[in-house]
Amino acid sequence: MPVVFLCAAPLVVGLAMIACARYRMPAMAIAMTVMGALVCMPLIVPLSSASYAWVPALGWTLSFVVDGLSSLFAMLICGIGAVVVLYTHGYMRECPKKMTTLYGFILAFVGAMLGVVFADDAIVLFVCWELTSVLSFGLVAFWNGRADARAGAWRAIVVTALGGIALLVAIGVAWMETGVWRISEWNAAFASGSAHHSWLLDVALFLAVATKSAQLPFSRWLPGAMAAPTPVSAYLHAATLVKAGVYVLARMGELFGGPMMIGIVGIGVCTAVWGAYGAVRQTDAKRMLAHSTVSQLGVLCMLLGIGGLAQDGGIAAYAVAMYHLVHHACAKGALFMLVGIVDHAAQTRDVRQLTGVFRRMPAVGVVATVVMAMFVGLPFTSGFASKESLFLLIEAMRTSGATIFLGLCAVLASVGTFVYGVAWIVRLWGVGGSCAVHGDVRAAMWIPPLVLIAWGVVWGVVPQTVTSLVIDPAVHAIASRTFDTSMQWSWWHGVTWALWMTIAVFVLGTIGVVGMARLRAGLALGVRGLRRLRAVGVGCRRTVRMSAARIAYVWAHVPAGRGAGILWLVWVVCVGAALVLTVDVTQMHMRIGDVSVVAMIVVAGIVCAAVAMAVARQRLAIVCSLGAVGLFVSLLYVWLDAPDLALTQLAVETISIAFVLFVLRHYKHPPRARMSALPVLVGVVVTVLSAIALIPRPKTAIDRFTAAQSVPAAEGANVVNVILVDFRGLDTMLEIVVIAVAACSVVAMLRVRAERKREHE
Amino acid sequence: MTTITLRLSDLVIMAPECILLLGVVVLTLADLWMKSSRTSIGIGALVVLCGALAAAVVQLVQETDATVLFGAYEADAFSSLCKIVLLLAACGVLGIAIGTPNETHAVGEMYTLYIPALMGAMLLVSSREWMTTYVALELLTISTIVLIGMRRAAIGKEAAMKLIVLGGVSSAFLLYGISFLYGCTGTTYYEVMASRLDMGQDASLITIAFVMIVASIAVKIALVPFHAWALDVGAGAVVPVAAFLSVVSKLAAIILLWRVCVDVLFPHAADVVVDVLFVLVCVSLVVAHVLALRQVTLLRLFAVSGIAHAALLLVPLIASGTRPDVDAWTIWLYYAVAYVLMNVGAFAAISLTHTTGTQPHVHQFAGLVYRAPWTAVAIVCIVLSLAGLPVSAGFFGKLFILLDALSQREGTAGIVLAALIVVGTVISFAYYFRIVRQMFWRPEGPVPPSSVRTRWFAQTVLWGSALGSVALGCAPGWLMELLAQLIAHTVVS
Amino acid sequence: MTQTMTAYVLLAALLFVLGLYGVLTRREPIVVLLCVEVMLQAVALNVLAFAKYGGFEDVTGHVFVLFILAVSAAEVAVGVAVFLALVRQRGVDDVVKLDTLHAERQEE
Repeated sequence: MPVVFLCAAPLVVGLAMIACARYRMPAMAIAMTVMGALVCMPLIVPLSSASYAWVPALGWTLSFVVDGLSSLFAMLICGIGAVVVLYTHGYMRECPKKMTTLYGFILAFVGAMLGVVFADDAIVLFVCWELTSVLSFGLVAFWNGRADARAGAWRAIVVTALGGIALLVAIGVAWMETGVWRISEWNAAFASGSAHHSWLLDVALFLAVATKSAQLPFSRWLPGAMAAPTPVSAYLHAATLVKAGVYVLARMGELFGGPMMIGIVGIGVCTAVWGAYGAVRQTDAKRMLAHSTVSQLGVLCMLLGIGGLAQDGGIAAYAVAMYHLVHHACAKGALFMLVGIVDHAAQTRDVRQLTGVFRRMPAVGVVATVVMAMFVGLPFTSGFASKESLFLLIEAMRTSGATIFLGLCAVLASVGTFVYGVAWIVRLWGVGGSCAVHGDVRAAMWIPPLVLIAWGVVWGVVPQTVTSLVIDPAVHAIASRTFDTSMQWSWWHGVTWALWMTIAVFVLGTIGVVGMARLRAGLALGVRGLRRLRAVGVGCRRTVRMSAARIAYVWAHVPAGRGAGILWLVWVVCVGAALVLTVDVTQMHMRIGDVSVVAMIVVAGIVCAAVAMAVARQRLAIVCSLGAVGLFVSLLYVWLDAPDLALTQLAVETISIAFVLFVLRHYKHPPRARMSALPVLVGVVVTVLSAIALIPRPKTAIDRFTAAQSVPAAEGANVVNVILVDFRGLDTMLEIVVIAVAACSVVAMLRVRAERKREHE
Repeated sequence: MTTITLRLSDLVIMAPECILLLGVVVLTLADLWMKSSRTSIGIGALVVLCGALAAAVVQLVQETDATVLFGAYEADAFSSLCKIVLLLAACGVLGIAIGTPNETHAVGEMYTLYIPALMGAMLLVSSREWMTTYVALELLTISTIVLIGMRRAAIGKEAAMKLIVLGGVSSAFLLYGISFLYGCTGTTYYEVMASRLDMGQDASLITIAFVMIVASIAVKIALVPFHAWALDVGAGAVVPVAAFLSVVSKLAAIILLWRVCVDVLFPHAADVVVDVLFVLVCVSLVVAHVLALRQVTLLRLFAVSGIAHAALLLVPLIASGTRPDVDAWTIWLYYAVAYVLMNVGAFAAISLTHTTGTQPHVHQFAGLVYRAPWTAVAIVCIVLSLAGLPVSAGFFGKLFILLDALSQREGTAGIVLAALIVVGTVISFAYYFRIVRQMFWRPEGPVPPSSVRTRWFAQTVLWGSALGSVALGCAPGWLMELLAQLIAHTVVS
Repeated sequence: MTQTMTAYVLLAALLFVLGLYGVLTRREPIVVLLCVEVMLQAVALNVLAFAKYGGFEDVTGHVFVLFILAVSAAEVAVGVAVFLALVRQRGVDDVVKLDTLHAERQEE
């Protein structure tokens, strides 16, 4: 139960706060209480895996898993969440009205995110996953008056919703393969070989990971989402939301086939380089951090991919990945918060306008410098350890072209990180610049980044303890087995390739920082080339869109207009073919003896009238020929042993035609001379028909059953009455209602005239 | 027990329909003689529907399983459930209708005419005989036509005219198909007909009759090559009538198709019929979503998106291939309930924000969050359900159908269906979220006057469906088990 | 199938097809309505032919035709009423086109 509480409590409280946002409430206190409870609860009540019934018919359960991996993520979510809640208080002080809503969204997001990491049932995972997408949409679009916020939120939800669908497909495929819904059981099944990998599963699962964790080619949404309030960026786009993809990659590692793992490593590497490149180009501080996040996420995916491929279970790679994850979440979160402080004070995030801002707020500057040093990996910081172990890992791999490429890319990405990080700090400490600073920095804003930095300090003091407490259990969970050797950390490994790589990073990075202007110009050249490529893409997209619209238009209009004749022709051919197939045409000798001469005449009349109807152009001619068809058909009924029906049909037909002619009176030039022909026609036909109907005819159709049952079952002597009222009572009742409705409508329609008269008066 | 003539005891079996019939007579007379107000007639109609609902529930609880008139009419658990769904939908429609400004020539008919239309729909569910089916279908169609044509604006009459012609043509096709089946068997009862049909002797005749019947019902459902009318007619009707068309009429036609397929068509030409339906459903799934992207008038948008939902409702039928099992029926019923909830809710939202005298347009939601935040919350719930996002009834409905398609239909067909459903869902986000975007993001300008706050019936409907959607999304297992338990007996027997 | 019945069935098919042709090619609502009627008459003819020559010995077919007639009459009544209301509201020339809804679609 504690797990369920952990996930549900913030979600419920958050949603309630969003709903009641218009009322005044101590939002900060509530949020802090909830986060405090989340952080403290596991200390009091130990968490454990749990499972509850949900949809037994489908085998869905509300099952949660508590192991090293989920605990590590939960720690990040709750810990950084608490810090962010505090920071939000300082950040939002100018706008207390919207504070409650923002807190509500953040709390709800905490709940959803905890759901993602604790879920063991795939459907629970999916639901929480989608919830995080939806809530992040609300958070990014928080300043909904701003166009960039709307556009960014829109792009984010489109991309992540796509990923959600992909995840659903992956879940479906995995379920078909294994027949269960528990992720732990999937891992077991795929690991033991009782379930088989398929390309669909690979691709769908990768799409889910790549969209959420902003891997190429889906990384564009993350910089766009920087329109969100800074605490949201610090929380969602550095620490939690974007790590959900990494989490799934770690949790469902067994579900990926080998080839896909190679693909993940490749894409991760490319993303790492591309993100660093993007960050160097940026001048907006937050967008720079977003690009750098993309880059680091690429590194994480690469590490997990290497772990999945490794022969020895990949423990080293997993350990580095988990370590890097925690390090990045803390450092990036702190950086975002510091950018928020600068933004608040100087009212801009553009690096070009911020020259020398740290000289006016030195305390912030010092903290920022320390964090950045941690981030770019200067020696004796957690960043150094993380980068160093990455290089060591690559060095330990079998030497091949791919490994060298991997190493080169890792160096390149690190150089990029070094360049933008150091350049940023140097610029902000720089001389000159006319940037004004307003107000003082609030405690609520500077304490949170310090708390996050503390991670680096703690780790630096007791690295082995932290590793065995936090990192190792997570690695156990990923590698799904325990091991004795814990990861060993040290600052010095001797003169190895890793050392040279590190030195290369620093040297190249320094050159890069010095030659920043030239670097920018060179990059701009590359950008122009890329633009040209993009123009081609835009052209393709436009073509596709226009042809789709064209097709849709044609579809919508096919049945209208005279082209419908073609449809008719197709239909005739189909029916004709079927009839010819069924009816043996060769046996068709129409002998006069079978059908009387009068019947033949009637048939000829029907055919003539029908053809006349089809070809006639004049309105009245058409109506008359239609009337003639009806009358002749009713005549034919007499030969088919249904004189009563013939009379009914005659009455219906006559009334209909009369009614129609009455309406046609409204046309402008009623050709009166021809109209007089119709009554004559009707009169003649009715006379003939009545005469024929009155000729005594032998009884041919005897409904024995009806006749026999008429009196005993229904106590009625009149067979027709009995049929209508008793044997077909239901249908007759319905028919009466139909006619009543029709009558109603006629009455109501004719009210138009009365209304119009009233209007005229 | 089957009787050959209509007896008084049979009326008890047909209690829901009989209550409706009595109700409509009483209400019409009251409307004529008592000069009562429009709203009181509307509430009267609501009471009648509730009476019928109670009767249907009682039948369901008592596990009534009886036939009337040689088995032309059958009341079993499944038909009772369908009737309850239809009745609930109609209650929602009436709730939307009560309190709308009168845009029609009608006075009380605007409420009373829903009842015969609903009666037709309910008889379609229970009918096991072609004549009854035909007359019930016509009762539904003609009543709907009159409801549409009553609109004072000329487009209403134009839409009615289109529906008359199209309804007539599709009935003609249906009857032509039936006439061949009658010619082959000499009966119009489903069961007898199914036992007498002989594919060996009249294969091509039977096949073409089947295809004609399927096509004509597809016209009623508005599956894709036969969909053009649905847009025009939907746009020409007033909002509650458009809701009725899109929910009750469509659902009734789908139930009819299920019935006919299971009872008559599948035992003889399952492969042909399933192939035809497969093509129709696939094309509908694609085209409906693409067409919907282009719509900005709300009634058109929902007419088109209704087509996509209808196609989804046919997936369990074609996935099963032959005789659908309990799961397929249950999944179908679940999605039908979800469909009713979300579409009735959507139309309630349209009606609430609608300015009289204009065509409902996406812009009418502009800035709703600032005008009526709670209503906006309810609408968001409904849109989530429509788009199939968790946690909502629509999500689970879609998911069940997707899984059913994948698990039932082996090979390419299942995967194609599943892929189309997924792609369609993705496309649908674009047009459903246009509504949400309007609500949140448009700058506050001069807002059109609307009666959001004053119409309690429509508000109740909106909230009922929003909460219902969310509740079903939270506890789908509860309803699934209930449904499975209720219909297990019927399907097995 | 006996030969006579075949003749009737073919005649009905011809009528049905011609009615369909009218429905698809004519623009005037009232004419289209009457063409639908012709299609229904074709069905009625078909049913009666089967009833007589199929050897079924009951009145099912006849009753069926009776219902088709009655219901289609109601349909025509509604159709003509709607048409009449439209003519009064808009005048004849507009009614012949009946494309307001179509135009609305194109505006989008």
